[in-house]
Amino acid sequence: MLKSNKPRGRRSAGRFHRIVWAILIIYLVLPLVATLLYALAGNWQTTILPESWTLKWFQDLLHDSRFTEAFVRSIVVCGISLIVSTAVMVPTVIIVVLEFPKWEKVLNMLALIPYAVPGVVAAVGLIRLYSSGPLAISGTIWLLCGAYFVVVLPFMYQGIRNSLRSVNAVMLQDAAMLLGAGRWQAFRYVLLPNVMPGLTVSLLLSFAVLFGEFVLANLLVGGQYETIQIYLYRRQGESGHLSSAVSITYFVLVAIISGVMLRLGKRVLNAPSPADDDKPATGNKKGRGASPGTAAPGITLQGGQES
Amino acid sequence: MSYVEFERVSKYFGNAGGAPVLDALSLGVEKGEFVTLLGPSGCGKSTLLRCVAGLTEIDEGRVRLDGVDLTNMAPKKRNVGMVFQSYALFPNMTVYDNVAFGLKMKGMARAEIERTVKRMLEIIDMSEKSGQYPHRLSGGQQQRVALARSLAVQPKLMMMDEPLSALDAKIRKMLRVEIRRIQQELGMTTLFVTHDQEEALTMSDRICIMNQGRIEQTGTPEEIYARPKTAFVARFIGNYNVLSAEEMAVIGRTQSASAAGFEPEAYAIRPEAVRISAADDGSGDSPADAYSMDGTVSDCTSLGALLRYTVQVGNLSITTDELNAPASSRHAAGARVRLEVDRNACVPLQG
Ligand SMILES: Nc1ncnc2c1ncn2[C@@H]1O[C@H](COP(=O)(O)OP(=O)(O)OP(=O)(O)O)[C@@H](O)[C@H]1O
Ligand SMILES: [Mg+2]
Repeated sequence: MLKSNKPRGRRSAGRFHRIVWAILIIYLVLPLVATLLYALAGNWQTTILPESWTLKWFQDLLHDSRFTEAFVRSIVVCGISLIVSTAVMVPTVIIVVLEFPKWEKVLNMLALIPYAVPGVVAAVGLIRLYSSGPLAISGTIWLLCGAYFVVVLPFMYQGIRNSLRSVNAVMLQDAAMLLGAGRWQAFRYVLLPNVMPGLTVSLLLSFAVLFGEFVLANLLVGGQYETIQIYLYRRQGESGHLSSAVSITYFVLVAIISGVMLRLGKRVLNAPSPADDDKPATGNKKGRGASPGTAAPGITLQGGQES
Repeated sequence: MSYVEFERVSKYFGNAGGAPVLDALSLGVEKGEFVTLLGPSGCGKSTLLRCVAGLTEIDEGRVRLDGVDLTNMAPKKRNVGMVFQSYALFPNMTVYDNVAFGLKMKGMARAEIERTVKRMLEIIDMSEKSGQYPHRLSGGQQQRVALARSLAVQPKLMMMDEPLSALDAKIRKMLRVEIRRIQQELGMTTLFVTHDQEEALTMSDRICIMNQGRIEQTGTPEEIYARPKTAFVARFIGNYNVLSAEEMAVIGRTQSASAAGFEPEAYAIRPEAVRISAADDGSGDSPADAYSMDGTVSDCTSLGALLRYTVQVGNLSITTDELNAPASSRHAAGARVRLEVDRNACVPLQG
């Protein structure tokens, strides 16, 4: 009795898991599949599946130079915002956490501001503030980048701070300095690599948020600098098929960019990602061998020998 | 002058008016010596090490190492190594790179780094793990790597802040022996912090008992154990019975006239120096140079090789240890017993 009970319990638990998985997959994938079908459909009236197939919509889209331009513009704005944000936030958070822990409260509050102010309100305020005076950048992408910097502040702050907390950064810095590292070297070779996994996640999240951002982009720069979301909005009324094709293309591109960023995050500075944990030891060795090119000139932090 | 010299080192945290964490502490450590700082939690052991390392600033006094004044030097120039309780290995580097880190910071040539790291990994017997990341190692292995990492740069002074406290008992005992062996082989001047008295007694050349930012007593393990100078030391090490002069008079009660004249304020009596026997046998014929007293056993616990009795004599509670020989009959709780202590086993204490 007891013996047969256990496997049965496990089997039913397994079935439950599978059902949950199936529901989740259906929920997430079905709309995507439907969109894809619609984007590929030629004639689709009364049948379950389309009667004829066509790549017309995709061709239309990819031949429209405004689509590629909008896409590049989005990348540029997101890129500038994220680069500036990284350059400012990484040193700031590290310095505050390590040297001025009392100021962490202030940083914490600053990072909550984007939640407190709705996008439309922020946009109107920003336009009024920057449309005249010494810093008349209203309507340019610089204002948008500035706004985006604030939008991603919470993600960046949380990600960086959490990685610092999880490795006990203060002690690592102490250890590095006692081994003869200066502040900069401790930052470059110990703190920064340990922040990388958290930073990568933050950047991905921020990127996804910014890439799909419409309100601020539309209000702050609008037609003067058509980002992918504004383009999408403009064309979705034209044809359902076309806007489906836009959605699919958009999805694929974001997936590709995320993949590239994940890979870079793993390689850059030789940071092991938390996901390495469940791989066998050989995975580490491979990672180690694959990255000697990324070490800084002058000093290499790669082990010289494989055992 | 000693190799390492602490000269009235003081440290105040927060308001300078409060109690100092380090209170004009002076200490000298000779070259190659293994000195242990032993004391209760919060007595300032870690703070003292951090002051030497330059991770915490000293408020008053100075520290010299090999004749060089460290007081205002940057940590990286001080030439001291430190091993932390929680290892502090760099998670983004392999074992090899962790050990090599200090050498790279020194700008040592690659070939020489490789040779040094290999030798270090041999010393700690971790050669085959050189490509692993720290989170794959056990606690004991991580601490050995941390030790090798500090040893690699050949610091003039090695400091260890409770390096074994996070490990389980068996590994702790093994590492104790290993650290001591490496320290003696390399002649490494070492400041070791612990609050485990057994660790201190087995590893050290010299022990400093710390209390509230001061050093209460320094001496070899034997000295500290056999001749505690203060009540604090006696209580902290070896579970001494600490008795005030009046309490000593209670014990000496059967000695009639000679009971008077306990000049020092307090005495310490080691538990194993107290002999215990059943109250009825041999009463009256105790040796002249011993105190004897009658009491009631209130508790008996087995410590493996020892039996520890707590005996109530009047309103005094006295602890005694006896060999846990199978033949000897135990005294049950509530039994009347006679205790005997040799006079010269009562160590007079100051203050
Ligand atoms: N950064 C700090 N700021 C304020 N007070 C501190 C700081 N570091 C230590 N203290 C105080 O100094 C005292 C001594 O601390 P320390 O860490 O040296 O104790 P310890 O002897 O190492 O104790 P333990 O055995 O628990 O490690 C403690 O009362 C602690 O509260
Ligand atoms: Mg401590």
